Amino acid sequence: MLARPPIWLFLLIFGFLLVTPAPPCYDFHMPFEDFAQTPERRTIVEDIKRTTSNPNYTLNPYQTFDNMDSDPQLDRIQAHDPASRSSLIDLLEDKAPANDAERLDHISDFCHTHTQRGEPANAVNSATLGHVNNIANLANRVRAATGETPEQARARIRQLVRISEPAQRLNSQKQSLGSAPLSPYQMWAFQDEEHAVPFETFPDSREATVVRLGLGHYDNTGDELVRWTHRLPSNINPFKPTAWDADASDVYWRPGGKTHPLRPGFGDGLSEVVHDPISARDFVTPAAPLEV
Amino acid sequence: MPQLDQLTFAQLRDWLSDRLQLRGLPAATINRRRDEPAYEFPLQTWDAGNDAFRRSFARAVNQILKDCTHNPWNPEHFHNLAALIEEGSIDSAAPILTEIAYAGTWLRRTNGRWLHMLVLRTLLALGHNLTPKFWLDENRRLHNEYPELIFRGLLAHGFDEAFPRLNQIAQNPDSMRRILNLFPSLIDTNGLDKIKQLATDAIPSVPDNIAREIENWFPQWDYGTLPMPDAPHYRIPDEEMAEIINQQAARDRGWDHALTPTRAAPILKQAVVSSAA
Repeated sequence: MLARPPIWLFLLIFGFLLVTPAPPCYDFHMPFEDFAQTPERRTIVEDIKRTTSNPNYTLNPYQTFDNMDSDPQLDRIQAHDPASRSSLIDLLEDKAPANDAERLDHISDFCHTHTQRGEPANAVNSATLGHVNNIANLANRVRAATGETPEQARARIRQLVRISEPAQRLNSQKQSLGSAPLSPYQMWAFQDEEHAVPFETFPDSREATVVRLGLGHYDNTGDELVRWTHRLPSNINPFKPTAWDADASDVYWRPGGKTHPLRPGFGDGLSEVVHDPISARDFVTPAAPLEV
Repeated sequence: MPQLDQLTFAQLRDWLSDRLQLRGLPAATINRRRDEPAYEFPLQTWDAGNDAFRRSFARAVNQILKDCTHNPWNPEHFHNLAALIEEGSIDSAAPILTEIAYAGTWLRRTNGRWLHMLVLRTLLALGHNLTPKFWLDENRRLHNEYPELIFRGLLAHGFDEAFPRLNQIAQNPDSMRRILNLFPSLIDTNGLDKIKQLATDAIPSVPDNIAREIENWFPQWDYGTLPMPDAPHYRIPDEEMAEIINQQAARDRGWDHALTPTRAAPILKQAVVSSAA
């Protein structure tokens, strides 16, 4: 007959379980180096790091590479999957680009080919999302199917976003912009989980919005910006963004599913998603100008 | 991204064609996060290029256009080519565009009217105003799908050619709304009072539903209401006047209902003849 284990053994096991941290969501991190098992492939990884570097981003010139290397959303993608880090190395091994410009083209093309591979953000399906866009690009988009000049389309949008009565503004925007997708590419949007209306805690200021949402591509530019909120139609699904979504040149993005403010003092990061383009018919609140 | 001025003519043509159709490596460096239009970088390169490069670039654009004649692109992609020609004022493309426009062969294809509109829009942007009759004929060929372009074509010949013809090109409220999309720009350029006056003057000549669309548009878009038509300029349309007389005649005779338009017509005609005599 076995002797009963002493009580101190139970206490020891219980205490060990209590102090051991829970395992991370993704317990296998496979950075680029895990796939660079030969000197040639290690060189390719170094090439990726050099090619995607941005010396003007003094915070970290290798930010883009570090994003690709550390993004937990990419850890979920198995090595044999065409969207894995390993597949990017395979591609560059196969194509053997002649120079860094050509290499960057291949890396960017790889990113564009493998968008929306992060976790589905199902909780966001019925949420109201916030988005910032540029009047000139919206004008170019809507005039693809009209006989307007660029100036005429821009004037139309400028007036549409300045209609004073909000309900009338929303109706006029839905009617005038119609069901045309508002971008030829996937769109980025954010959710403020603590507030039903995403821009509720934002001032109307262009700078505050751009900085808080980490929109470095609009920082200190002359682009006329607008913001709106929308809800996704049932045929469009949101995903947590990956480093491939962020592309080979976006040094302002950070992995982790939250926006990354460009500078401190502008609030915290907010949950962000990527999704297929929506139309003005999906607006919840109308587009409004961000004041300079 | 290659240095475009270092490419051979064939390389430049192929690169441009792929870029504008969002295909392969030439489209890889488009900043999608910023919604960068596909033609933005080629346009900047064209603007900054030296004479030799611009000749080669224009030749590449024209070659792509010629290739399109028989195999037109998807309209979204053709818009990128059209926008490059429009914003770059690449005048040498005009003869090819004219040929496509007059042939009208694209009209029989899928998305044909959309593509045909883009050709006409580009020609107009290059300063080819053509004639008012041309634009009215094109309105028929386009099945009135792009009335804003036709209105622009007529405007190129002056307000007097465009506003009085609203009744021909705004055939329903939707087509009027498309024309009204041009008004913010017209107001920016010509002033609100001028455009309001032109709209007010045009109202009597258009059907009621179109007139309502115009009248409602100004306050809806924060431009205030239209002024009431001046008495000397305002003429009640004949049909409306006939119905007013008909209703009044019924009341004078103590009838419960006015005559139907069919029964009233010969009586009213007689009244008009007597009045004229």
